Parts: sequence; structure tokens; C-alpha cells
Amino acid sequence: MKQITVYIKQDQLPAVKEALADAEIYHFTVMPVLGTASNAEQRTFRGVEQRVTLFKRMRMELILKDSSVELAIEAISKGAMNSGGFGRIFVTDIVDAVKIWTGERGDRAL
Amino acid sequence: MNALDTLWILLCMILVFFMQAGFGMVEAGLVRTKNAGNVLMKNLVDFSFAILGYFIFGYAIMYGSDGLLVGTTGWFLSGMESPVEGVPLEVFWLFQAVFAGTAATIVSGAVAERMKFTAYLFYSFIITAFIYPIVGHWVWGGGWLAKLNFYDFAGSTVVHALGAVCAFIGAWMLGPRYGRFAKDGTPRLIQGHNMPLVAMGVFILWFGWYGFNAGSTLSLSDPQLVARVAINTTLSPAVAVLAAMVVSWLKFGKPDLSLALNGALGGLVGITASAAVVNSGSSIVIGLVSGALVVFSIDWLNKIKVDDTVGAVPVHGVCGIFGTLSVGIFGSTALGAPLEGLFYGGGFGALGIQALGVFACLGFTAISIWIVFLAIKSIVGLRVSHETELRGLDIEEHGMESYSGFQIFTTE
Repeated sequence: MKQITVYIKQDQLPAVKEALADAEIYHFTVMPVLGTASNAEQRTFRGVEQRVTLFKRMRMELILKDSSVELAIEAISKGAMNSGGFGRIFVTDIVDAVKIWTGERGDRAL
Repeated sequence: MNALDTLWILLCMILVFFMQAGFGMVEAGLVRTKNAGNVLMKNLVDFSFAILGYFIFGYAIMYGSDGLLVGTTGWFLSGMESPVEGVPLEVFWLFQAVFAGTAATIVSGAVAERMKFTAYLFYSFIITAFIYPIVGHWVWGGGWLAKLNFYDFAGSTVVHALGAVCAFIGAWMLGPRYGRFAKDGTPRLIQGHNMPLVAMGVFILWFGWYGFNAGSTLSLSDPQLVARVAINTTLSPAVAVLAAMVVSWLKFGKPDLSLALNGALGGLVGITASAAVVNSGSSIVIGLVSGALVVFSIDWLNKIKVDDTVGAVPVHGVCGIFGTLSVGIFGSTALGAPLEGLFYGGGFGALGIQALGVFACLGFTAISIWIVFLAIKSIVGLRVSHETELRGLDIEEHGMESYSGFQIFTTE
């Protein structure tokens, strides 16, 4: 089992979701987060300049069987490329999983 | 001077002015958080342009000397006399100017979330300085339609359908918002971000509409007339809410709040042309049809893939046209209509005149606004870039967020 963590811009989410649906991956969690960017943005509010360093991002978490990981990475990349090309994908190992209702463990719990 | 009539018109003008707040809240609530500030800015600026444009050019074109097509005297109000006896020109002008503002502001909602702010600036000046006053002159300023006995009491066509035609042409030329229709053409939901704001806006509009309709009597000397207008302006939207609710319930399985709210506005627009010349029973029928029309025409816009963000075209356009035609059906000369309506034995004459008036006003509006939008498109462009649309017009066009400090969750 692997966890895929994705950071994208907020407006990329529809395209990434669509690409995942095309790949028949439907289960994931999405969180709105704030992230820094390499270059800050200058904004003016009521005539006062302000440096904005935190931007709205989306964090997605997918827990998948090992065999689905490449498929998911491909789909996420495709969706993100179609909507500006921004983003990072991180893959980490998951030790175990439990489906509370049935008590099933491991891959069967997904 | 007649102090009571002056007070009445001034009071009603203040109510109509407050409708701007209603439009602002409805539109802000029906767009996404990232565009709320932009749509409010458009609401504020189009009203300000309306005031200026209507002062310099608009009033002269609308109420200047009795030409059949346009008035040509009274630029900057100079040398004009009040057309209402006993009421100062300034008060009459103010009442007319807030109407011009209402016509202009209808468009901002339909083109929301994608029209360039600069393009909107050009448009809002031209509609209130020229297009609205020309049509207004035909109907209210002694122009050719008035001479033909075309009747539009407070502006179902002159104000609302006119604004809606501009809204329709604008939304059609801009194209739908990104993600509004799937690749295969099925409509997708882009939900507004704040339904309580929308509801407050609709209540404010309903509140202001008493000024819009009852004030259009321009006098308190006939209390029975004012009373009839006021009760019709209450019955029609109330029934329209119920009609929109029931139709949406039957069609979609649940009573839909945003459609019921649109229904209220549809009922108000529908009764605006005829409020003075129909009885209470007719106003109930007009409300019933208007409310149902709102829901059906929203469906129709989805079919032809015109993306009207707030439902301005169904509410102001479809109900505005129906409301104007209904004068020719339910209007009664006993109550002050110029021609007897269909149901009062007048035959199709009145209905034909109403249809001709609607066709002429809206045809002229459609062609002129189309040319205006084409010109704006070639000068500054109509639509924001794809990146701007995705990030939101608040940050990209105005450099600020409407909900700074809030964590906004998107469900798109």
C-alpha cells in the first residue's frame, strides 16, 4: 500500500479529479491548505502595497494498492498538466489499514 | 408646488435606489467567493455611470422635445421643465435616474465571473446615456410607441427586458464560464457561494419594488390607484414564489431556494407593466405564469448553452416580455389602460400593439448592444484571460480578496 500526496493549485482540482475519474480512481481526500511559492506576489489594498507569500493550494491524499500507484500518478499528472502544469506528487509507504465496519486489514480494507 | 406628491416621488426614488443593494447582494451571493468583489464593483460603478450618463445625455434623449424617435433638448437638464405638475424637475429626474441605474445593473449578474471590468465600464455608460433613454423616449417620453397606445406602466420592457436583452447578448457573446458545460454539452453546476446574501438581496428588491411600481403613479392624488398598484405588486411575486417552488419541486424533486427567489423577482417583473391597469385576480394569474416561466426558461438557457450566472434573462427578460404582453390580455380601460385587453372584449388589438412594442424595443436594444459589444471587443476585449478566470477576478482585476482571512472550501 502507498499513500500519494498531491499539492496543486485550487483551480486545478476539477481537471485532476476528472482525470482520476477517467482512470476509475474515485477514493481520495481533499484539503484546502496554504503554501508558500518561490516568488511572492505584490498586491495593493487601499493604496498600500503588500507582499503575499502564502497561496491557496489543494492537498489530495490517495491510499492505493501498489499496483494502482503508477496509474494514479499518470492520471494526476495528466490532469495537472491540462490545467497549468503546477504541482508536486509525493509517494510514501503505508504499513497497514483497517476497515472499521468489517475489521478487514491491508489491501482488502481499501 | 405640491409637497405631498414631491414627498411621494422622492420617497419612492429612495426605495428604488435601495434596489441597487438588492441587486448587489443577489449577484454577490450567486457567484463564487473569488468573484464577489468584482461583481459588487460592477454594481457600484454602473450605477454611478448611470447617474452621470443620464444627467448629461440620457434625460435629454428620453424627455427632451417631443420627437417621435429621440428627444433633443435639455442636455445637462438645462432649460427643462418638470413634466409632472407641482413636482420639481430635480425630483422627477432623480426618480428617472434610479430607473436608468436599474436597467444598467441587470447585466452585471448575467456576465459575472468572466467579463472584463474595463469592458463593463464602456458598456454601462453607453446603455444609460443612449440605449435606455431612446427606448424610454419611445414609450414614456411621447415617442411613437406612446402615440400607438403601447402601455408599459413601470417598465417591464423599458427597464427589465431591455436590461435582460443586453444581458443575453453579453452572456452569449462572452460564452459560458469555464466548466459550466461538460465537453458533451451537459450543463454543470457552478454553485453560488452565499444563499443568505441572495435571499437578503431578493427581499431588498421586493421592498424597493414598492417604490418602483407604486412610485410610478407619480402622484398620490388618486389613492385608489396607488393602492391597486401596491396590492398587485404584492400578490404577483407571492404567487410567483409558490409557482416557481412547485414547478422546481415537480421537475427536480426538491423545492429549490434559489429558483423560488428567482421566482419572486420574476413575479415582480411580470406585474411591473400592468400593476396599474389590472385587478387582483389578474395579478395572481400573472404571478403564477411568471413564476413558472422562470424555472422553464432557466432550463431553456441550459439547452442553448447560454451561461446566465444569476438568472437575469429568465427573470427580467422572459417575465418582462410576458408582463408587457399581459397588459394586452388583462388590461382594462376602466382601470386606466389605453386599450381594452383580450379578456375584457378588446380583441387582439391591444395584444398586437403590446407585441409590436416589445419587438421594436427589444429588437433595437439587441442590435445596438450587439454593435456596442463588438466595438468594445475590438478595443479592449470582452472576456478576461483563462488564467484570470480560474484565479478569480477579485485578485486578478482588483488585487484583493473578498474574504481575506477566511479559509474558503471549494467543492468544484
